[in-house]
Amino acid sequence: MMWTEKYRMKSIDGFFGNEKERHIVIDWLSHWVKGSKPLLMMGPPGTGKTSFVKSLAKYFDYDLVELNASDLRNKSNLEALILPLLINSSLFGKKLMLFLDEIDGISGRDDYGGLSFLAVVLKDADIPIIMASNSKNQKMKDVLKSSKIVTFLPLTPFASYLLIKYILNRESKILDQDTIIKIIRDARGDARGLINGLQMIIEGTIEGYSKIGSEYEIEESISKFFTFENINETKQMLLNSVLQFSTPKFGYSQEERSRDFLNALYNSIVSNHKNISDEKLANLLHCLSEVDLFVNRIYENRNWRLLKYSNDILLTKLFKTSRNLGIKYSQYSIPFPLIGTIFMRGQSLRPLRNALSKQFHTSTSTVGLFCLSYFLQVIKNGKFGVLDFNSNEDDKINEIIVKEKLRA
Amino acid sequence: MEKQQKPLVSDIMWVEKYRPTRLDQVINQKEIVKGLENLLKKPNELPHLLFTGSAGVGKTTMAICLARQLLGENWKRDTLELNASDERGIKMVRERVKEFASIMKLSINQQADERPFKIIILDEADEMTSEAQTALRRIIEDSAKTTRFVFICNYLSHIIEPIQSRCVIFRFSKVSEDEVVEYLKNICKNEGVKVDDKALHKIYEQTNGDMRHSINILQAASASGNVSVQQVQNAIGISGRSKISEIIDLAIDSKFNDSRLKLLELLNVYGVSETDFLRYANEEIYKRDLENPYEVSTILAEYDYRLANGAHPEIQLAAFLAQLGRLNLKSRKK
Ligand SMILES: Nc1ncnc2c1ncn2[C@@H]1O[C@H](COP(=O)(O)OP(=O)(O)O)[C@@H](O)[C@H]1O
Ligand SMILES: [Mg+2]
Repeated sequence: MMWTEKYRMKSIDGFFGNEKERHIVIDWLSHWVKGSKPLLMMGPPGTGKTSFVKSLAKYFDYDLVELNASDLRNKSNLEALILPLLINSSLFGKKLMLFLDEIDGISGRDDYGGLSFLAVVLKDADIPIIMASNSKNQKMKDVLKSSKIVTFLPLTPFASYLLIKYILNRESKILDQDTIIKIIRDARGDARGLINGLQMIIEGTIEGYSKIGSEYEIEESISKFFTFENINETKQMLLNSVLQFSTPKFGYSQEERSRDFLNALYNSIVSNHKNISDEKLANLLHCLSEVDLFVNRIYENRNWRLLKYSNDILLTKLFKTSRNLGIKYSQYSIPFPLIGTIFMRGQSLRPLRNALSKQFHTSTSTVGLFCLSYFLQVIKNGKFGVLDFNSNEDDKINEIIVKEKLRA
Repeated sequence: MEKQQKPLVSDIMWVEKYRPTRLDQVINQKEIVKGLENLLKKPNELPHLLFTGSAGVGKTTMAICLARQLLGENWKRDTLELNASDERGIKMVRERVKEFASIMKLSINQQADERPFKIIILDEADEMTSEAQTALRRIIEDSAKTTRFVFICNYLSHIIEPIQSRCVIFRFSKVSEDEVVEYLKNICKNEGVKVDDKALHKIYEQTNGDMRHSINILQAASASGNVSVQQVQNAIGISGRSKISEIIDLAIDSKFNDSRLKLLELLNVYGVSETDFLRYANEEIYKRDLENPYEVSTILAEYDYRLANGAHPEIQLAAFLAQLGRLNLKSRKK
């Protein structure tokens, strides 16, 4: 079982952090009468909002009806789902409580009055209604006005520490202080991230703990990787380095990208292509490709236990062939000036590509293959001025086009 | 306020301006048109449909025509057009399709006889994972009273059997050279553009009957008011598709890094998907005069597998280009 499920708190006093806020919620529910304002829990992901509401319902013996953003798209849908509950609540026998999760997800262009309808319903409900949201936005202002708001904060380092200790206890594991502090820092108060990080470290590495004792800089580690003479020494060095195996398929923060071992090796190898023979280059990349397959399989099956073999496999395949090539660390896979013309331009064209895909009734990839450059050519040839893309990003897209026209 | 003065992209671009709006305007595909028109006579009995065929032969066009003819003026409101290659996976199916299908139920109950049903066009459905396709099975059944699906794909074999068996399948044929040329000529007449017959045949030679590509080339080549072979040639050179040919040439020439940089431009600037790159790279391999194209194609297949099962697409594709470079293909041409 994933640890985030295994350690989902089940009783209302089992939570770490936001004690004061949880008390406000308990207080609100125990004093709830018809006509009380509904409750809105604001707060970032991983602060235990959803689990807390579930345990609360259990404790106070309510039947919980839970709806989240994907159930609540528009007015007619909401009406169909909610009104029967409110009108017939007494018929169900047991006490009912309504939980609307992720209400900041009810938005976008397809939302025909979902939130304003909600605001009306909230005003005079027969049953307690609790909502949860990660953020506030303009569309929510009516809902905000008619609710009692409790703001959950990211877990404090101390609460995070207690949670880690609790889990370590249950797992009968110990972890050195430095590593604990590092997990806390990385998770930034998100309990889910904290638990995932802990599971990675405990189930994913050889020694079980003490992985991140002393940290070498990424650059140093990669240079050492390509220069060390002794394979055992290299292995030891890797164990203590900040480099890690990860997969962009499961999301990739800036920091993860720079610590991603395979990516760092790839960037360094291709940036030094001039010093490497075709044969050798093909070999090196083929090895990376193989390790990439292995690592991704581990992630897809959540077999983090196996992650500890990745270094060995990598060393077996890559160590000998990559000696004496003079490969230096590079943070990017392309020379610096090209980052603008390839990555940044690519980013900035995205809204145009998406709009054309809607206009031409085809995938964005087909737009790239058979439409985009022709379209730009036609626009450059003609004198059209501002265009109508029938998109709410029209202004932005027209700006992009002006910029593209200025390109030679 | 000035909205009326802004030209619509769909009026400027000929692919959209000349996209048929009624089934009988579609060229080629006569059998299919006849079949669909027959089915339309009893809208309540309309089965789910599956259109299969190569790119730019009118599959999406016909699906839209069908929706328009079936649902009338408000077809857009009652049609969900999804492109699976941009929203693949199980999440897309669950959230968008299921939701649309169930909202329909509500409105249908209210006005039982006004509208028979709504339509979900699931374009490029062969790009969906098989899990997503499996999840669709239930949704198709659950919403059968209210919803008709039109699946569109390039490769019928990529659609799981249970979905195939729930649909009437229409196989779209290639549009012939004569028909393409004729169609392009008509556009030129309409637009007041002079055109050289040879130029039109040159377009066909390049696009092999893909109408979308053909019309786009024609328009890009027509800037000066007449279209020559040379202008067609120039226009062809700017497309994302022709970049793939350049990338493969460079890789075969062992110019690994130039080839890789062009590939990154294709993926990032043009927004072409990694799988589409490999698909057309495979076409390119057979266009070249190679001693043993199957050897190359086998390597490509291996990396296509790795792309699907690995975590770093860029590493996989770069490794592929480097493999081509080491084969020394240039000196081994027949
Ligand atoms: N059989 C056809 N008759 C007329 N125009 C066509 C035909 N096939 C394609 N086209 C033109 O090519 C463009 C792309 O067609 P589309 O139906 O989107 O292709 P696909 O088969 O890839 O879905 C349309 O805008 C349309 O103008
Ligand atoms: Mg299509």
